[in-house]
Amino acid sequence: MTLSDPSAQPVLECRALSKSFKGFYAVRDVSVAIADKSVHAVIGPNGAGKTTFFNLLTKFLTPSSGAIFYEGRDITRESPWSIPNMGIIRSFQISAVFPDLTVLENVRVSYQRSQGYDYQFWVSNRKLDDFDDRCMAFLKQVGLERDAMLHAGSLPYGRKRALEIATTLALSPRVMLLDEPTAGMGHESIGLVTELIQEARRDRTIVLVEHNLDVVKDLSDRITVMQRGQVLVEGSYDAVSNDPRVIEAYIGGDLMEDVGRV
Amino acid sequence: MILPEKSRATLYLYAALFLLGVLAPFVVYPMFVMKIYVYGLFAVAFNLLFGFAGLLSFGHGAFFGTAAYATGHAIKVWGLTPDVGILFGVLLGTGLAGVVGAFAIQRAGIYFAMITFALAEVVHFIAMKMPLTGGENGLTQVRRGMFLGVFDLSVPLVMYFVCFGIFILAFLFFLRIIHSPFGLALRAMKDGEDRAISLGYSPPRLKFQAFILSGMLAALAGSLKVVVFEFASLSDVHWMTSGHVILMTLLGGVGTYIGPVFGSLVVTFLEDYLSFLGQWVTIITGCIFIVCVIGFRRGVCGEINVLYDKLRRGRAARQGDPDTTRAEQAGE
Ligand SMILES: Nc1ncnc2c1ncn2[C@@H]1O[C@H](COP(=O)(O)OP(=O)(O)O)[C@@H](O)[C@H]1O
Ligand SMILES: [Mg+2]
Repeated sequence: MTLSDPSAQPVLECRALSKSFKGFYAVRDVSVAIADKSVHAVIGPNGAGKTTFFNLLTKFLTPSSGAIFYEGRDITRESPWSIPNMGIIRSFQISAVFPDLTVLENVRVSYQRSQGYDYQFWVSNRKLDDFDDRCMAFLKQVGLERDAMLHAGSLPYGRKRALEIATTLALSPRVMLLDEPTAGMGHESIGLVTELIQEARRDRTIVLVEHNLDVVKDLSDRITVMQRGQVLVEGSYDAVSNDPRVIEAYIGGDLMEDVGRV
Repeated sequence: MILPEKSRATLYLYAALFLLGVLAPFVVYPMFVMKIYVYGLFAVAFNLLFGFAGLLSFGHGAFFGTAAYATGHAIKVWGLTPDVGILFGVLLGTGLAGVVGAFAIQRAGIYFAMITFALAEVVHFIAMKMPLTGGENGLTQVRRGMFLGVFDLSVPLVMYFVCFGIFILAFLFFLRIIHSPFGLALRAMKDGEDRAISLGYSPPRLKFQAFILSGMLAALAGSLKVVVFEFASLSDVHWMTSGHVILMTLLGGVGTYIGPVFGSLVVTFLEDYLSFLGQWVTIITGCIFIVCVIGFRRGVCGEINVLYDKLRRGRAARQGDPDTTRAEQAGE
């Protein structure tokens, strides 16, 4: 585990963030500071508001109140597509690849963006053929190089998730927000994804929503536990797992079964 | 590799079609073939928006017709040459597409279609009331003149090859758009808008740009139409024209490249060669449309693509299987 300097400016921070859906608070008064180059896990029972929290941070949802700062700059009013361009890339809880594009095109559409090619309709793709080599390298990293020409929609679930990570990496983000990257995966794939995250964390910040507590334990520097839209506890894995409120919440039947032992 | 083989097959197809296009005016009535190009290009424009951005416009006739009137007016009343006239028509049509697009892309799905439809109806109404469109009579007797100072368009074969040339250039432009960073981003957005946003693409910008480019190509088709047929009329801005182009595209294959041109060929053939059937043509076209939607949803060219992929995969599988390969060799 890398120890991050608490006095340093957090790379991503939210203050008193709330989101209500017609009076129901999915996220309420959440303040979290994510330290630079750390892995910060967000855990909590289903419906705790973790995905909503991610949607707020990436501006897919507009906060009802509160503010979001990135590198000290207020980004509360930014559009959702300007967030990735600042270096914050998210993944989705439900696997999101472009099914009708080939595996290679999935990575390419992401990589070209990082190279400043996005809306140019007069540039020939053939001129940018060397992109393919870089994209193949990203695919190789996640073990998908042999599937490059397949339609992404035809991949099995685990490989879709791996592809999603490859497309995320292709943008070389500063901050990655991963929403349950190992959900629905078998043991082997979980190992692969954990390795990928270990690899990715070396030069970037990762915010991770994860149900598998083994993964959380191995990876995280800091953990925020959410419950009913609010922050229950925040701290290191040891501190959090020994906190009576967390134990109560996890044993109190409020939680999903697959959590196992805390 | 898979891709080069397919693009080689496509290249052969385009070469064969090009040859056909060169020979066509000596075999069939040039006006008939030019009509295929004009409406084919119009359908290609529509397909760029529908097939690649997933936006169904019900008002593309507005850009087609506006450009036709503008070019016709520039040539007939202002006495401009057809090249400048076409340029003027395309500019005006594209400008209109910019206005309509800015409103329409704010909404998705059926609301998008309704906005384009409503704004096209406004254009139709204006065209009906404006004196310089000639109202119900239309804008007739637009003389073709000299194109770029050297091509005398009053000679039918010259007109044909200029029309053919413009069509090819426009189609190549369409292919470039599809095979550009923008084209890839557009297809990605159609596939998953949220995911595209999460990579940093702005759907409003992608859609607006697609709308303008599509409107521009539709306008070019309209300008070409008035030069070829020497008249523009209310039917060019009518919603029937917008519907026609949807039919051609669906028939040929949404999201294919050459498919919409094929759709234009079928519809034009029905209209011109079965015109003695009068109203029945509409019914026949309607029936073909229904068969198409129910029977082969991908359109003619879309089905061919799928068939080709299947054959290729079958062949690849056989090649990969040593037993079959040996059996085949023995058979030969
Ligand atoms: N768009 C929405 N409209 C209404 N309620 C929502 C919406 N999105 C999420 N919620 C509610 O907010 C709560 C938190 O959901 P979510 O953020 O998905 O939880 P988690 O990801 O922690 O499982 C749930 O009760 C959910 O029903
Ligand atoms: Mg969730």
